[in-house]
Amino acid sequence: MRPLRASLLRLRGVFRASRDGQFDEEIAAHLEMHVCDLIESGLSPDEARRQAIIRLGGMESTRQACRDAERLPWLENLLRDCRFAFRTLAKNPAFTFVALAALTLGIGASTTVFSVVESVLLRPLPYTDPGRLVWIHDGLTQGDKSGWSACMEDFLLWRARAHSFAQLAAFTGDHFVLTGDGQAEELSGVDVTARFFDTLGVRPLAGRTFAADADQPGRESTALISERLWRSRYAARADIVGSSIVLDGHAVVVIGVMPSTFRFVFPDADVWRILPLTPPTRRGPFILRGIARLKPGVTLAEVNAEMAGLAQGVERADPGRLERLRYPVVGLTDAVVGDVRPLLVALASATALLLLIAVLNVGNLLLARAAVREQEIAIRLSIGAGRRRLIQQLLTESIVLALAGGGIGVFLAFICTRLLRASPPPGIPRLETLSIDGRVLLFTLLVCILSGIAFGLVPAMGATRPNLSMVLQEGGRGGGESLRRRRLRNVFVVAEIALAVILLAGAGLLIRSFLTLGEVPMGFGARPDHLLTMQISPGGDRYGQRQRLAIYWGAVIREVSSLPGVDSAALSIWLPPDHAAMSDSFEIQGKTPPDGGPVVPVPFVSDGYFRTLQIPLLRGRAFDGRDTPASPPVTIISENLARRYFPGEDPVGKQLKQGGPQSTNPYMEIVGVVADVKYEGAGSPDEPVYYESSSQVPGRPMWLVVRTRNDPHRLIPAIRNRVAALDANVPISHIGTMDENMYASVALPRFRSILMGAFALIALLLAAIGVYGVMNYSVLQRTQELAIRLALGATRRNVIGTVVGHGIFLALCGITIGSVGALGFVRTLRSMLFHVSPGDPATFSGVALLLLAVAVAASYIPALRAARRDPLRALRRE
Amino acid sequence: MAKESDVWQGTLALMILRTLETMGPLHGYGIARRIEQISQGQLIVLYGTIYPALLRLEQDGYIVSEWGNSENNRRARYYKLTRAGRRQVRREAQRWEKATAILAHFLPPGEEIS
Repeated sequence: MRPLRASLLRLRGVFRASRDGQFDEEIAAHLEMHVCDLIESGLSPDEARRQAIIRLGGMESTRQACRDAERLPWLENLLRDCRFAFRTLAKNPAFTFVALAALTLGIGASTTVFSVVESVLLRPLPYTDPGRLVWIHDGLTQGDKSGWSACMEDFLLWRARAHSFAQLAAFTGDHFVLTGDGQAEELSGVDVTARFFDTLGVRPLAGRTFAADADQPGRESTALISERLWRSRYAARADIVGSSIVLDGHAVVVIGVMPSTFRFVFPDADVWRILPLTPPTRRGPFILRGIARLKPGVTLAEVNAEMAGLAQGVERADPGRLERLRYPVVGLTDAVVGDVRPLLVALASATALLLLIAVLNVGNLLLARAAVREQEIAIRLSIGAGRRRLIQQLLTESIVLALAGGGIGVFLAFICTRLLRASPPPGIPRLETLSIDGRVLLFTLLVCILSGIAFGLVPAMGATRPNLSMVLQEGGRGGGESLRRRRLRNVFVVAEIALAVILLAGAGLLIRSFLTLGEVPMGFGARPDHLLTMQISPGGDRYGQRQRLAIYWGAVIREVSSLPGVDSAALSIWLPPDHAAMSDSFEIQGKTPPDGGPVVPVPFVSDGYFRTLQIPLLRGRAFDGRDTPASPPVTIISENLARRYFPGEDPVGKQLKQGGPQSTNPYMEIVGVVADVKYEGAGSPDEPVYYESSSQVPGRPMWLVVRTRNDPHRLIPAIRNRVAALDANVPISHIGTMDENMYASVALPRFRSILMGAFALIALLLAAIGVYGVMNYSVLQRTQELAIRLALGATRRNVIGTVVGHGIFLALCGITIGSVGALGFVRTLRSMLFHVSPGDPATFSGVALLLLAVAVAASYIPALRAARRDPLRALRRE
Repeated sequence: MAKESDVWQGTLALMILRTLETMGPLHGYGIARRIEQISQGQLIVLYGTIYPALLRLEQDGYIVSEWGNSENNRRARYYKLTRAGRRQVRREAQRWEKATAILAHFLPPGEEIS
């Protein structure tokens, strides 16, 4: 405790008025007493005084020793240095502004990106002991974009035979129409097996989670609802637990409410309904996802070995049926954030590069300033300032600068994170918890101090080791930048250009990919800005019968088509570019592997679908009035499916069956072939697709797509009215134009292109400032030389050529080094590139030319200034 | 390893505290003279070093100070041991005794130290 108390007293001493006066009085009294004693022993008063002072050890040093003991000298120095730093920075507003701008951007970007990395990658998932949670899937299917899929047969097998799991659950995304207690509402939700919540280890806000046997077939249907739904629809009534609600026309008992903080895979879920474990009749559909909690001590390798064994057992029992079956198990964290890791790694590297450029830029500015301050520092050194102390002071200055930049940077990051949280780019999970917390601030503080030292140390070391006599002899003539420093500044600029090349190359590749993505033909001819789409979700028992549903859909199309301004209207469960619905495998006798064809989109579409979207019909016919529930089932296949499975023959008239070979579905006759359409995003490869007629197999919900003559937005109210007139209880949602859908589908590529582009632009700007600074300074240094050359008959062109040539030389060095580095950096972007190779020559040469142009421009301005100067006046001033 | 001045400061602090314990309240000059006297002139202290040491002891709460009048009626700052200071004297004295006792084993009397 005592050292602490003393430190506090001394800390107080730093800020409190000094006891100096009291020391003086005390020492004066001391001397007087001593002098008296010495006089008594026979010395003369003068001699006595002299001796007393000698014995004391000097007046001033005693006073200083007392002062040091009273306070904390290092803290006082620090404060003095800080004050000095602020004064110096305020005196050079131009320098301070550029340096602060660079640091703010660099540190602000680092803080934002780190907070994203922290909340997405580093923070543990908000479930009990998330390290033991795993994701299981059936290795056969490619699965949809949002995760891997398995089927009920798989899940029952895992549940019965696997020993590695403490708990195991399956779930699948679902949509519900909620009726009763007011307006019909379409809800997104999840069907889950009984141990779903226990596996994750989460507790409800009210009520309870499912009993362990709630998913046995024949039990009462139960569900948990979200806190949002509970508050908005049921006014947070406590008696909601235990009461019945109507989902899709079926009574479901609410047994609990999940807090709004609970999120798992489907962030908008409002309902978690029990998924009954009805024994399947075939393998598929592949709509389930499995999660499990490992028993303590079980490793991923062990569980993977066990599951592979299970898969092999299945294979042996029915040879040839399930080749490739493996049941891979991965950590849940990997499954949730695995996809964004490359993006975040690329972002983090880009940010680090940006920060490095900013640091180099400020270092460069400081080097330039060190030259200006050489005199000041030389004088201070020559009158006895310690070199350590001077370096300490210069470093304080740069750290103060970095902290100031960091402060504004954190503010910038705060705004950025709020924006990101408010409108998170799609495809990046867990952004809802994004915040600048203590860990992020600590990181920023560290970054500030390290960058302060990084850009301050080299100039400080250099500045305090000048050739004293040389600098002082130069007098006020401002010449003589040391060769070493000039070389250092050139190195800094080359490094800045190299880093800018790396960022520009990355941004260039991403932007090219994005632009290429925008040019991919989607497969339909209709103008996207004249197509209106919306989802219509008839629910409940009323539409439980196929026939009634088909009649309803027929009425919808009739009503909408007859509206003035509508060219054509149709329905489909799938829509390009990426509105996904059911996928399934298929079988063509003698053409597909024994386990069926790949799992592919199966759009159920209405008669006018191909006409409305203007998808070219290549062979046969489209669905039409001949296709009814009573007529023989028909299908239309995509060009890709035709090419792959009917090479060189006419598929029309052949038979195809939905599901694998074991499925009990009837064979359908192929009546037509249509052009390929992108159903899983513009970036996805063409794949086999087979269409079924929604007159024969009506789906729900379905997308209504309307081709209009003019701006489709104006038709929205009329269409709504017509559909509502048929049945006001049917919700309409997701209204938008095809244009808007396509825009939204490339949101992630656009987001990363914009982000990387912004980084690259900042880098380019900083590099330009760097080149300009160095060239400007070197021109100033060479004023005399250039003036003499001009006086001796060199033309202005020669002078400009010399200076610009130097700039070009620096740029070429930077471009060469940067290109090599860029080849390494763009490798982290590989998974984000689309139809562009990482070493794309066009991008690389474009970047090189751009930087060269910037370097020429940045050195041309100082060169021109030097060439325009009157040589005589320049010489005289020297 | 402690710097020489640290060791010196530690011992100087103990000497000051011990002086105040035996002599009662005393001013800086008096303390310096007394230390010189006790050490029988073997210890040449620059009187100036007394004052920072006094300041530190005061910050540590071992002594307190107040202005008073000296024997020949001069204003001087008087230092006085606190209760914590007394305890510190005991503690430090024991520490020194222990240290010298241990060292005594290494340096038996009468043996030449080369």
